[in-house]
Amino acid sequence: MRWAIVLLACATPAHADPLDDLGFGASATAMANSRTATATGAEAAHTNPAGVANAARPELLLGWQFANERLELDDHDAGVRNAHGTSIGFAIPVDIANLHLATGVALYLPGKFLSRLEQKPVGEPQFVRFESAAQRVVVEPVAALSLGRVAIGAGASLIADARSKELAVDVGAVGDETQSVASLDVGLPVRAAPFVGVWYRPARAVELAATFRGELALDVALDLRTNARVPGAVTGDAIVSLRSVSYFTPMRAVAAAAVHATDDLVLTADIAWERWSALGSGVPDVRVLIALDLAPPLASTMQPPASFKDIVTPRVGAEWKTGALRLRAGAAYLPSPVPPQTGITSFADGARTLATLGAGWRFPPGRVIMQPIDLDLALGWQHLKHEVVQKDPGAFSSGGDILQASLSSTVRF
Amino acid sequence: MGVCRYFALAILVATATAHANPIEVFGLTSRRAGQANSGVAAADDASALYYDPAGLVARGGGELVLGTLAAYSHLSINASRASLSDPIGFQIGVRAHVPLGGALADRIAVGLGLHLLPTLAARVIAPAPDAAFYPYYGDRLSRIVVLPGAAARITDAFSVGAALNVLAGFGGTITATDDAMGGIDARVDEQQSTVARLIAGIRYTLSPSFSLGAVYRQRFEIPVQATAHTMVAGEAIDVDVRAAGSFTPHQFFAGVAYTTDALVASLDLGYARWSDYAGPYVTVVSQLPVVGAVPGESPLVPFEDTFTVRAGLESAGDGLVFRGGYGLETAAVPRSQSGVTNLLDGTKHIAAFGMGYVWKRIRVDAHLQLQLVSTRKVSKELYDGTGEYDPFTSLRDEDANLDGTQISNPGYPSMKSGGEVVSGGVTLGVSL
Repeated sequence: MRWAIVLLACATPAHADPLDDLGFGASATAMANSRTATATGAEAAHTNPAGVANAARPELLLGWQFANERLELDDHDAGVRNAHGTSIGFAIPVDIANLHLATGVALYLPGKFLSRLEQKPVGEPQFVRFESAAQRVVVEPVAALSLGRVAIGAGASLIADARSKELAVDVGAVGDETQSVASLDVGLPVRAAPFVGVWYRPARAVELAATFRGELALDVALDLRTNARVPGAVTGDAIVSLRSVSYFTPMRAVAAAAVHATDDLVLTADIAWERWSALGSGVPDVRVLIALDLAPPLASTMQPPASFKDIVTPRVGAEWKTGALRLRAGAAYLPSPVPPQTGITSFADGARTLATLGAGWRFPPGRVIMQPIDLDLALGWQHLKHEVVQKDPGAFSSGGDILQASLSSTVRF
Repeated sequence: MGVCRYFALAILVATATAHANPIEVFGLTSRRAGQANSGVAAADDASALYYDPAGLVARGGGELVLGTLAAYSHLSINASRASLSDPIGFQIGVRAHVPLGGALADRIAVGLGLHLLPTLAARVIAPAPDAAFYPYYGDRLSRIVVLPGAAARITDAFSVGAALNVLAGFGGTITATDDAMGGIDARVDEQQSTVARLIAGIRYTLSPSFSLGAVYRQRFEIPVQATAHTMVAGEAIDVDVRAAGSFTPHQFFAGVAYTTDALVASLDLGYARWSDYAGPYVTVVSQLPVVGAVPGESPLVPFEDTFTVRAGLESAGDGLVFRGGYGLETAAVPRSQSGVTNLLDGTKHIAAFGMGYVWKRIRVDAHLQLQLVSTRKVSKELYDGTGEYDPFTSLRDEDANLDGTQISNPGYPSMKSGGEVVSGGVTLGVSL
């Protein structure tokens, strides 16, 4: 009896790089992540790899972020979990001959999970871009070269897929008993998206920068074979083939500028383009085909394309220094890439406005501290516009707020 | 709908049975690998993150270390060669003193050690119970290793340090039901969770020439359980999976180092509690249509605690430096396996040689290491029907309806193992 061949494919919702929302270090969070032109050292490992080369000494950044997801669906708590995680970054400049080189790494470790794959039934209203957005690890190794007024940097944003070479369960009769044994050979291959940046200081008071990061996603490709050889009962193969795509992180290009209005005040602006239109399907896409003597074939369900649209995100920030104290503020408008939900899907999303502020203290070198140490704090508020989506039949509403807090310290060696 | 349960099951299994780490097998940096992985009391650079984290603060300054490692297996399974799963790796180590002055000057250091693979974060190979398999090597090279750590000098002579061995586990649930339209409503919630275990060490400097060190490495494993209850057109397909992967036993190593202007000598003794290990197998218990409940208990293998002695010698100073070492490690796999399992192992003799060149802030080191696994022969016994059947101690006829004894176990009637594993690498270090 040949009893099952199953094909299954799942695509979990799309999420951007969690650090794009949370910020890498409290300084970035406090300026609405508008730091592409001014980030240096460890912070720049995520923000702009070229800035890593602008570190004068080895740096270590340790930070912790928290996001309180107060999102609602139909005026009730949407159940989006709060996010928290640890940021670790370092930058190591090395002078060889007349070259000022540097290497660095940016890491984000979510508090509970390194990654989380979550999908809900297609028609169920859900915050497609928030459900697990902050629940994935970020690993970004970079290297950079400084040429004085110009610096360039390159690296990669890494994620691990899951692919099986063998994943087998054998069910058979041994003596008068039926037993099963399993064997597997599964790899977690690393996928890399390029991440490059350039920094240029055309004048003493002006800094310009640009970055580009390629598209990234976590793919799962697993083939589970169940082989049954039980004489008189069941004999045949069951093959489960799984293909899934999750944590879609769109291609992203950023242009940024910073103006040092005075020796104490710097104003920054970033504008980012994100290619969300490349997302194939933003919904849980499950297809099942069964050829089973024990049951009638079950037809597959095809999901419509996501049809997300590209978005442009402006961010601005300001930092004012007085002595050891730094005061920061920022704002951003974050449009939604999700199209009107008139069909089978019910993606909740909407344009967000972001306002942030923060403060930092630089502990100067002294008798105990040999190099300056920064301690920074940031608070942020994202407001997700309340929207009512009319469907035929029914309707759903969405909206809410996200409160952010970030604390970090940068230690120089 | 049961098929989505298989999705969860597949991922759970996939991430469940990675074994220890490649640093344990082949060392961290060419300096240590070239001394047969010895150096509990001698490691004073970024390699101390594994050998004894207290060593992070043993020397001033800091360094960035970049290295590569490759290995080749000449281990045999009867007449065949057992290859290594991922024989090439890259190593990165960073160590720096926290820039404090006064009474805290040069007393606190931090570091990060990484072993990375060219294309993989991890690869997991969990064999069927009758597969011939070297569990000591197996997929031990197929895993990245992340070791952040710190150390503090409590007194001029006494230091303590700790590092974390960080990896990921996987778990969660999947629910899928067929809807009225004949499609599927799937609900998935799977998580990769962080797993971190302790490596703790102490270092005591008896005199400028003698140092003592000790390190404890906490048992590391990822217990996984997945239970799936599914229904396909009224037929139940239930699967229960249990596994304990990424196993590293409790380890305790103690060492002594002797230092002169011309050389550094080290001697380590170690103990690893392998007897806690339940084995590399995946246990599956399932409920299938028509068949009903299907047990899938794996054989219980009585792993044995291992003992290790390692010695290393390294010339000191700038310019050309030489080093070498020898190690001996007993086998964790029991010698007698007369039943289903074919786990291969043997006493390991480790011989290593290395050299390097030190110039100002830069040093380059290279090494070669030979691990000689002693020859063993595993012979099978047939179940005579007396007492309760134990799959570890004997094999039984697989089809009593046929004449003669029907046995498909690849180790029947016997299997011979042993051989060599050669590894080598190069490390570049820059003082910070």
